[in-house]
Amino acid sequence: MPGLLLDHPAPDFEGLLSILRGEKTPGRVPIVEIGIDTEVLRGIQESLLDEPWALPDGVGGPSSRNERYYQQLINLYYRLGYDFVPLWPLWVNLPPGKIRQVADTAKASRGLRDWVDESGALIRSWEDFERFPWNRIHAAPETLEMAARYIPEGMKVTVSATLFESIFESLLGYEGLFFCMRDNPQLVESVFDRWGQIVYEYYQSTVEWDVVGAIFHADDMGFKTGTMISPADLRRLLFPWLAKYAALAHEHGKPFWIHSCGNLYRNSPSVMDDLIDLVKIDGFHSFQDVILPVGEAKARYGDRLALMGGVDMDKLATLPEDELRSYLRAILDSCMTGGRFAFGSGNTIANFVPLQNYAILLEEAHQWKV
Amino acid sequence: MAFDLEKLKRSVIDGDTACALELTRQALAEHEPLDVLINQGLIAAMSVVGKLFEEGEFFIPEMLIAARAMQSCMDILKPLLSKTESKPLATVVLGTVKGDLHDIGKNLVRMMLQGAGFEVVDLGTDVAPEKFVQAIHEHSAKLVGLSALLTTTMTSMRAIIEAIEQSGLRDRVKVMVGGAPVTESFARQIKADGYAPDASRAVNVAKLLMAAL
Repeated sequence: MPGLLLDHPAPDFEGLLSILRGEKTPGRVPIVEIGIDTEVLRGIQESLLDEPWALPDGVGGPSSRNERYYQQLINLYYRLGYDFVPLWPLWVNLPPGKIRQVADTAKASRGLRDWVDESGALIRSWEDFERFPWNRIHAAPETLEMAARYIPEGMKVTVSATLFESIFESLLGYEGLFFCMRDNPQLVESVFDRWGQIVYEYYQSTVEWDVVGAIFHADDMGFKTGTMISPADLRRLLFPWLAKYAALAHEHGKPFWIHSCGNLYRNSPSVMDDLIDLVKIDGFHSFQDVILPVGEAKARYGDRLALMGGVDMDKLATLPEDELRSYLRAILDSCMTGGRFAFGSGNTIANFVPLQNYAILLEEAHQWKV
Repeated sequence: MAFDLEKLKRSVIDGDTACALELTRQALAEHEPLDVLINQGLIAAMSVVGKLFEEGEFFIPEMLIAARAMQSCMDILKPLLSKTESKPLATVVLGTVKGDLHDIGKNLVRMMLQGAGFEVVDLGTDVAPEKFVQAIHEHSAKLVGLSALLTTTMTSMRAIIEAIEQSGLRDRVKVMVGGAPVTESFARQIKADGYAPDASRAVNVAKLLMAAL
């Protein structure tokens, strides 16, 4: 895949921020991702750089103590043309969530794919809550230290964590959360308080680092036709924490971006309106065409925040080349004017996205004439 | 004093299991007709729940607790039903496709279909095409519901429909599909009979497909 890796990358995180704030007419198409699956990165590393991937299969990912891992991770994002590398915390003393595994059906298979056990939960009662090691959970500081060592000039990292998503994926579990909201609402509030504080302390300990360019928080709130819990419950349980994280970022002169899957656009004010007006997000990531294509989102919200990503995952994974290129160009045509936009997948570069299609996305970004 | 059916409905809609059970026992003590309790009480309540979900008034927690209230009442009533009284609208075979372990969406569909009077055979997750075929045959199912969370797993839906065709059962069933990456267009491509964007609309689609059989 010629051209997938740039020979002379020129990351410019400050330039990205100017584009996202609408201060600068973009002279290039900025690209962003909140994640690229390990199998994709390994495929690029081993086929194009002819270098073995630093970690054995199934170990590591965006949270690892392996310094070589961070070196190659940053190098790949750099060579692919990104302005920042998204980093996730390596949680210490956090009990593992309940997962199930099944053979991965993606072409770049990881062997077994982990799935959240949606009926599992770490906390089912006040006894579980009291026993949970809240005070001992923290993020390992060395991951940021290692990343800072290798980040090139002009490039930054972003720090990401989840609050709502951690609660429904592992702490209370999906069903546990939904039933507890009626059966034991105080337990739900207490879990939000404790985990919300842990995430706050993670952001607090990282946002002041010069190498950190933004807080890029991730919390899937919904599905195709709505949010999982009511907007009123989101406002009560989640948004106060999101607003605290945003205020923390802003106190340090840095932006606060949110990634969320789901339909956040129903009713007025919508959840998206709340994120903009109450939480005060600077950028939003994750779009799915069946919910709201990014071009329409730009028209609707582009004067109030930066739109990031936008290439529908299903299309990125399945369209043949000609159709994919037309689709990508249409997004760029509708979104690049006036800035306030960065191009990329609508979710992540998952291992079921063919490498060729990912290369086409990058190629279209690099070649598009502003 | 006439039994207050509206109060039973309201208690299910509100997810008040204790109240719904008390009212159900009261109704039984007063010899209220079972079909009225079920159809005009419990199923009617779940229909309201579905509508409120579609309108953006109810969300997943409200649906789950309403379904819990309804199921608790049905657990008391079902053993009392005669064979004719307990005849469901149809039997649906439901499952998340091979390679996919996403449960919650399928479970919500199951609850709403049961709430609407369908008999549901839930095959669980990571279900191979042949298991769907076997279940259709064993349970004389009229409807099949397929769920998938990822683009990479939804491709199994095509294989399942083909397996149903090859088994000679395709004319006897209607297939509906749903899940995050699934669209109306994809449903048409794989020759599914229906597509539902969420659990509540799955009930509407199921009823429409039944009418077409």
